Amino acid sequence: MFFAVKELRKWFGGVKAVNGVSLHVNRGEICSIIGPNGAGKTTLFNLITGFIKPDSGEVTFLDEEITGRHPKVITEKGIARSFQIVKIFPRLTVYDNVMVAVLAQQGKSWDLFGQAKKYARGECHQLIKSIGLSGESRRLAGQLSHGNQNRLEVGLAVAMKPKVLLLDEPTAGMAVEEKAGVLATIGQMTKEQGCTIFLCEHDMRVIFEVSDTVWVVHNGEVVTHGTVAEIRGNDTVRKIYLGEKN
Amino acid sequence: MEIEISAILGQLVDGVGRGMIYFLLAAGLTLIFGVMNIVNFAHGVFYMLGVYLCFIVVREFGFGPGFILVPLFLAVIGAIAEFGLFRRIYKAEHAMQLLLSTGVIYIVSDVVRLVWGVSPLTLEMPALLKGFFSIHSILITKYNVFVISLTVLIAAVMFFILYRTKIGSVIRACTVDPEMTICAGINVHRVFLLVFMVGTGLAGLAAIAAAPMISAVLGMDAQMIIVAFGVVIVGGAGSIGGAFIAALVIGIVECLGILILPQFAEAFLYIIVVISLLLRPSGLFGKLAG
Amino acid sequence: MRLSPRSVWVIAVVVLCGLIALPFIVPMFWINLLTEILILGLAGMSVNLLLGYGGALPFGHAAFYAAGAYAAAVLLKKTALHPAAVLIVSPFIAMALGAILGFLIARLYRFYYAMMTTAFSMLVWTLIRKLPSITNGDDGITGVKVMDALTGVNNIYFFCLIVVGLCVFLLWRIVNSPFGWSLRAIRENSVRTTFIRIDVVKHRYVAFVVSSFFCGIAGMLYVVYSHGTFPDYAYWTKSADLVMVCILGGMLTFWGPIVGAAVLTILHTLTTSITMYWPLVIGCIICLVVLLLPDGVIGRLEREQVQGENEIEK
Repeated sequence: MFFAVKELRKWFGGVKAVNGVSLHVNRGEICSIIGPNGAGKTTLFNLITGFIKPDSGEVTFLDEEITGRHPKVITEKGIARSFQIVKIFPRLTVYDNVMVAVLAQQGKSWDLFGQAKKYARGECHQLIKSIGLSGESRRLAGQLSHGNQNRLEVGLAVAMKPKVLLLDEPTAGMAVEEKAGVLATIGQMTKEQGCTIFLCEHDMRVIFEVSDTVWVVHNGEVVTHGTVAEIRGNDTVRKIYLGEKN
Repeated sequence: MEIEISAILGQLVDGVGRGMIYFLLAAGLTLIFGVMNIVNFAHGVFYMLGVYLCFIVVREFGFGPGFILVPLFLAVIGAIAEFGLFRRIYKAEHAMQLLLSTGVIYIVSDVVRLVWGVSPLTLEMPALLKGFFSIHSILITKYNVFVISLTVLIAAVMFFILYRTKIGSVIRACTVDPEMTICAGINVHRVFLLVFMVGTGLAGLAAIAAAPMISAVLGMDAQMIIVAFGVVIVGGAGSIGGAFIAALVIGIVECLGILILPQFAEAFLYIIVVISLLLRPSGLFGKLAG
Repeated sequence: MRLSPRSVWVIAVVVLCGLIALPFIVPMFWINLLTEILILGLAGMSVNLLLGYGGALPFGHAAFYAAGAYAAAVLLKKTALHPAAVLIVSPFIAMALGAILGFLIARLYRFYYAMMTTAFSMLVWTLIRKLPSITNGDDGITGVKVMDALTGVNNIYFFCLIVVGLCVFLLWRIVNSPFGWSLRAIRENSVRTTFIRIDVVKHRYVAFVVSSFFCGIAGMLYVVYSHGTFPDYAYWTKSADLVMVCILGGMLTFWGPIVGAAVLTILHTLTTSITMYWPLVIGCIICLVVLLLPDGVIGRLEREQVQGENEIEK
């Protein structure tokens, strides 16, 4: 099993954020989770990446159980993630943001005497180019536009050269034109680097545009899953998204 | 190691008395830190100013009125400091707040030095409160009893205000979430000013309560501010009850410590703080402020 | 005001030549002053590794400064160890203390981190005063002679210049290394850094230990300079001075602490000779700096430089 989650459960007091979720992702596919606000998508991501510990259940990756391990360990095993509320390094330039991530991925974060700026220049610039921020590399990350901050956020996750990339609402708050750019990056990632993408989104158009498989979550539970066409035609899903236009 | 019970009990009472002063000093600080998230290292120097002010006030007006006047003076000074300086650094990093406090410390210390000189001053204990009670060969100073009673009363009043009045719940709301309180239409700036004034006023109360028992000497603020913040940390930021218990514990441990390890008695405060931070950084009743 | 990296290095070289030439030009008084600035600046830089680059609030570095000083003084006066060995060993003793305190503050942040460091350093202060058999207690240790080669204002000055220069170079490398950049990332967002494979707790610990080492060197140098040491070197106000020096000069810059040290030392000297109100003056200046120049002296310049670079792209 490439990547699977089994009966994952997390309750916060009386709130059943994630209530026995089971799903799986196949290698190389772009898999999406959708569900109304409060459906438990972010909590699920937090559980998978070790940000919080589940009450019960299992997370397996490449046949190894990684439930509740420390985020650093999980990242090292090849699962990287981006955050819905961007967690970038505001007072560092875009280049420096990427550089730190790239160097950390290369295991260099313990190098006390080397000159950081001389390492991996090509790779950093390449990464910046692939997230579409070439012109902004010397701008302070905190001064970027919202959309560009989202791109940088994705970039930081991509820098980990992950096998599985969890993207938590990567286009949140972006204008329509900007979303296309992020989507292109996502598509490119899968094709070029063979990365498996696990995407959590609110915007249906984004989901239907890129996904191979879609999982629908509601009230902390999996309602159904299938291809884009199957989900589009599914009445239950429509009911959950009352008033949503296709 | 033979220590008489009477000696232990005597030190215990002394410790309680000392703890009361610590509480008065720290109560204001825990409010300021808990409510406004300001690291006011100058609190100690306000206390010192209060102690020195006692000399003038007591000479002119007597000891009794001093209990109203000194805290009042300090509340006014607190208002000036808040309005002129601290108001502008609410959102600043703690490092900047510390720096500003250091500036205030330099200024106020020098004012004290210029007005009162460098020699230590002692205030005479008022005649009414001189002397001891003797209970089963334990000597308890009358003044100690006075301080303890007064502080318990003040603590009770504070509790009442905080938990039974509207302004009290507003203050507590600010401790939890200042931004929400603004949204609820409360003028947070005025609340902050009030809290700062009350906090500094309490330091004044601690000053006059402590004045007859200590000598006023330059540099006393440096020692007291560490005690005050120690109490705040151990009790929990923003918690009056926590400050009360923490102050008592520290006062008692210090005084009992003198019996066991007289050389290192003053180190007990630091050890308590270190242990408290290791076991429970948020303190007895606080939540991690800032 | 734009300064290309090239110009910075040119200025640095010029300044260095000036520093070397100074003893032959100016009176002894200024050389002593400069020595003090160098030592204070080094201590400040050690603090700034954690404050400016690490985003923490180290409020107890006086403990390491005093440890370095007392290690040197005690070993020189009470043992027959070779002076060179003593000078080399002393910072390691400070570093040992740093290893302990670093462990205690591992999971603390902001003010709680600060209070732990303060409480620890006050413990050190108490120990120094209450173990007179080793440390001479409240009287401190005076009349410490290091070695013949290190007597005389100029010799001491050059020694400090060389040692501080070396330390500054090492700190420069550390700060610009991948480790240094990881520290900065931790400062900016400690949650994110965990997710990019940086072990936050371990990195902070190593930074703390390294910082305590350099602070210990500063303490050791002060013994060489002033031939003595006192318990007050461990008092929290000394730690506050070190933090102040960083913020005055600009804590987000590399050279800030040295500039801050120069500003503070010169102001102190000048105002004490002109007026007896120096604390008042300093206090007002500090308040003004906080209210008007929150980035410190250099920080202001650098901010303009970064903005200038950004504008060029538009």
